Amino acid sequence: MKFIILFIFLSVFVYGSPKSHDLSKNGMESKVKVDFKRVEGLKTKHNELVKSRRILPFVHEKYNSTILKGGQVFSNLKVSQSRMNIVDKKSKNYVFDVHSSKNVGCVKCHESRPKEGDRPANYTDKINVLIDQGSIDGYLGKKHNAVKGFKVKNCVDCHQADIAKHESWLPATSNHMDKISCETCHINKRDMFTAKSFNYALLKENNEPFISYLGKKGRSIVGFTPNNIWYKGKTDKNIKIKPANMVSFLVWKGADSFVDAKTLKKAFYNGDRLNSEMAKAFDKNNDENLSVQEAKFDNEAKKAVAKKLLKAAGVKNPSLKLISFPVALEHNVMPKEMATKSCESCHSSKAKSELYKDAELLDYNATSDIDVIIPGVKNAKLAKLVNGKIVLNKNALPKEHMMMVTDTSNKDFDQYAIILLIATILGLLGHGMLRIMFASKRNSKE
Amino acid sequence: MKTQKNTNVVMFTLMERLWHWIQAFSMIMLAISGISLHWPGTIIGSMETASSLHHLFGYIVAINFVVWFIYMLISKRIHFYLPKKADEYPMGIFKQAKFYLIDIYFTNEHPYHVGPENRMNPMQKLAYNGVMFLAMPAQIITGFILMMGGASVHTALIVHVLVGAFFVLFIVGHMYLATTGHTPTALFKEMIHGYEEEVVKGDETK
Repeated sequence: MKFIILFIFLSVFVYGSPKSHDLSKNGMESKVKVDFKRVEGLKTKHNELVKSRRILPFVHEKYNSTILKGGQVFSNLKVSQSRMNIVDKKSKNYVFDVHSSKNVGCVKCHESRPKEGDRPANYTDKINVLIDQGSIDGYLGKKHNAVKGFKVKNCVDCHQADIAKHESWLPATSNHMDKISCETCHINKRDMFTAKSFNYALLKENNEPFISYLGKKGRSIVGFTPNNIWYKGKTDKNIKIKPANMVSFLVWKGADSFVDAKTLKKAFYNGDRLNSEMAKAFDKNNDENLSVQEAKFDNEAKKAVAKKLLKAAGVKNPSLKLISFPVALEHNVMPKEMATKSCESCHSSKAKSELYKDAELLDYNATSDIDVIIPGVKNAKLAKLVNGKIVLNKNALPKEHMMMVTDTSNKDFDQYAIILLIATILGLLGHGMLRIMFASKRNSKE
Repeated sequence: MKTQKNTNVVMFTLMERLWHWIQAFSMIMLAISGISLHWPGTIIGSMETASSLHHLFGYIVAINFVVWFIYMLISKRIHFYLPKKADEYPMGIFKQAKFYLIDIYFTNEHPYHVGPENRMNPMQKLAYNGVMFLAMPAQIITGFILMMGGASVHTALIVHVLVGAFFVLFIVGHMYLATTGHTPTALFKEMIHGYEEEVVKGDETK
């Protein structure tokens, strides 16, 4: 039964409802609204992107969602009560979201009463946050952006007293608070899956991207641990460690601009089917249906075919580009009992290796043209190739942001200190032995 | 060579001895907890325990330092730390260093006699002045900065770790040099009962 529910959900979620995807006869136009809109809040200082102030050529309304890009479940139910196929959920006797469980609805944080003239057309005072747990689409489909654009509260607006309580146990409280966002400790896992990479370089016939997910194995939701990285959040003045999901977009770039969906359709499709050249290169099993795995640009032959077709469609110098950025995880605050509290969670060798662990951006090497956009962090070399995968190189983050995060040790200093200590002990031992030796000689003479 | 307690000569008052052993135990605990904070899980498994211990003994050492300073001023025993003519600075330092490095193998006679009125040789004076008037205040101040947090935490941490490493070396060196009295245990005994450990008459030559 679980699998049937999950299958239905996945079908609805990934492929959209059949009605909404009813393609027109020529297959060129979909009733799905494809927005060629900007991704808000992701401004970059990268030369090219600054000029256009545009990160991506097109993003579907439904994929421009922090829910999909962060695996956020705004529900007042316990994970164990969910009807979703979450692995080991019976043992997860805690709520998805502590705010929701205490009836703190969206409008408590997202400003709810803008003056009349400023209200969006779909403005509503009361946003129903209770969702049907049987259908993720129930909340994924909700217009969460209804109150977007208005002031959003953050933790300190409501939790001043709670924050002060940290002083009773957390050493150097203000220093910790200056460097670590509340979410880092209070959102330390997600019992949900999330989108990891969007392949906008080869759209499906319905104009939707191929999406790879994190926290999902087959039909089971295994959850994921957020990536704690250093960046400047929307409300924080300082760069802090914040939990995030690194989301990547693979797109085609022409000489002047990104390649849009219409051009891709023109280049790669005949009507609503992939043209023969693309099918030959990508559809390995010849089932006339591309899977996420098949849609990868993971060899030069595939890229060459696509480039040739794009050139034929009028794109000058087409090249693949990967754009990655962190999506802040701000909802789904865990109950306080589950917050990270032990010092070793951050200050230990194990934590160090976890914190500095490379974050996978794309599970294959599609391109070397990669923009990793981390707000507030200037470093051009944030991506690297490891075992054929493109990963975020956390060690390339500016060192000033990394100090104090793990243990306080510095390799060089530690080495010299240990050598000096051993040398001192050995020197004193040798000195002592010589003293004993000479003293016994003296005694024997006398 | 044997030594015995000479109750006529007080080397260390009860206050000084209490201060010293509180300091000694606290410094060892600070070193253990400090190492456990620097390399988490090395000696004390739980970092929270290590942190609590480090704070506790940090407070004790800070208070101990203030008590020591006030006592030394009031009792006028601070003069032990002041350089004197007899110390022959700066050559006295080299003279004492030469004794530790070479002469000590051939004789028990230190170049500078240490007694109740002149308790430290020139090298000791230099070391203890550095420890008590530079390293200790630096460690206490940076310790408080680290506890309170703030913009200077980064610098404070570097100083604290460096001085902490120096203290570890100092403890090792201090313990070893305490064996360089008339007998290896003589100076330890002095710091326990407070009186001079004098060489038993007729046993001087051994």
